[in-house]
Amino acid sequence: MEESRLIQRAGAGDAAAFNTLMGMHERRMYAVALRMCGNPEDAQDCLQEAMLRIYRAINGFKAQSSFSTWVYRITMNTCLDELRRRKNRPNTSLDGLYDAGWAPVDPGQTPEKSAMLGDMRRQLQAYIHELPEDMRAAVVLRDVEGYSYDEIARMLDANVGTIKSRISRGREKLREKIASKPELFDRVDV
Amino acid sequence: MDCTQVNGMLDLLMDDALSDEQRSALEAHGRECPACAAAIRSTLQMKALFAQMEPEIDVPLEAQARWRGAVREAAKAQRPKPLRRWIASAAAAAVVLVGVGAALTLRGAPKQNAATYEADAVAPMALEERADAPALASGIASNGMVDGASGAVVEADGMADEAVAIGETAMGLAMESEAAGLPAPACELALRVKDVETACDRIRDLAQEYEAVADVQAAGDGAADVYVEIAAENAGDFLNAVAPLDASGKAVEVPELTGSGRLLVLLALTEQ
Repeated sequence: MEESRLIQRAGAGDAAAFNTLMGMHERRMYAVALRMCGNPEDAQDCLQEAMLRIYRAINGFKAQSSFSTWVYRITMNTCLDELRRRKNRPNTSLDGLYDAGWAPVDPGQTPEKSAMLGDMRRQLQAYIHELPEDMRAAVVLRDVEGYSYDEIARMLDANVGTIKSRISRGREKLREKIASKPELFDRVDV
Repeated sequence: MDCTQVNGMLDLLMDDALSDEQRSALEAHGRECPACAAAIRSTLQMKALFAQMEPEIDVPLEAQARWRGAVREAAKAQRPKPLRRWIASAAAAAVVLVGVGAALTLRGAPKQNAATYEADAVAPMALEERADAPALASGIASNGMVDGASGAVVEADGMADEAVAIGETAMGLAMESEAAGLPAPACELALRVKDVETACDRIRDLAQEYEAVADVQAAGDGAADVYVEIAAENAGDFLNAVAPLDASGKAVEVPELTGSGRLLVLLALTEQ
């Protein structure tokens, strides 16, 4: 069934249509939540909350933006709300930092190189998690999810100039941290 | 190129937006400036690692089940159940009829209060929701209790007792329905299915397709009764779509349903 028909039925309270519709978006929503929250438990809580918010609001979706832009806007807002709510709590340990969401390692790699690559990946994820939330959101949407600057501006309800600035500063911070660990990042060609 | 321009170039590098000329200039500068060379190298490492991050990640099955279940619960909470709607209609009619009766007993009091006229005005509306509304309204009107045009009470107290009696009967019906849990279905179809839960999900999906509302009630021993409220013109097609769920191997006789408006059908599911 086409998306517009599913949206219409979901807006009328059809939970089955909603679940079918959102089944097409849940993997990307989860990827965003995981990279924002840094661990699967919080990401799954954010995913569920985002789904409920979308369900409650879908009757008011007016197609002024694309449906996916609207969905990821709500997803990102849900994650940001959760992160701000947690701000006053002690930092969650990153010991359980997830390893999901990476392309499979080249089977031709030696075990040593695979291990080094794993270390680099986990460290980058930790650095992303250390970015301020607004910067992290912009970098994740651009450099991981591949959205355009215009789409990100709509999702984060900011102007394009602000988004470009957040992304540039976020990348600069990541770059500096990577450059500060040559013993990790220079060991093997990525 | 000088060092102050490198940051902007590195953003273009990340975005695959460098022209050949810009790329050459950046590389040339890197050969002359160790700090910028390190920044270029880090940028390339970061870009390569980002490229290995999947934009989509499989949601664990239990998390999928959780959000889908939460949405179903939210949908249920928003949607009035078929039996509640029927009880609400009957109770509304009953309450208003009692109101009409009460208004009539006040006839002859020095002042008619606003509630009297309000009850008169509301009564016809609530009666419409009952199947016997036309007969009841006609009966009330012919007894002169309510003037058809103005809605004013024109008959004296003799009718009051009758109105109260009608109201009490309607109330009684509503209470009986509530006690029994359901009004009488227009038809009942017994199905022996492979798996009750799977069959219930399929019936819910079909109900959505036929713009019906399905309410599942556990019936003990793993069986389930599914009450489906559906437009009469869709009921036949819906039942024909449901019939194949029967796994007994025997032909399922789908009754012919006539009538207009919305019907209640009962699907009694037991496991094969």
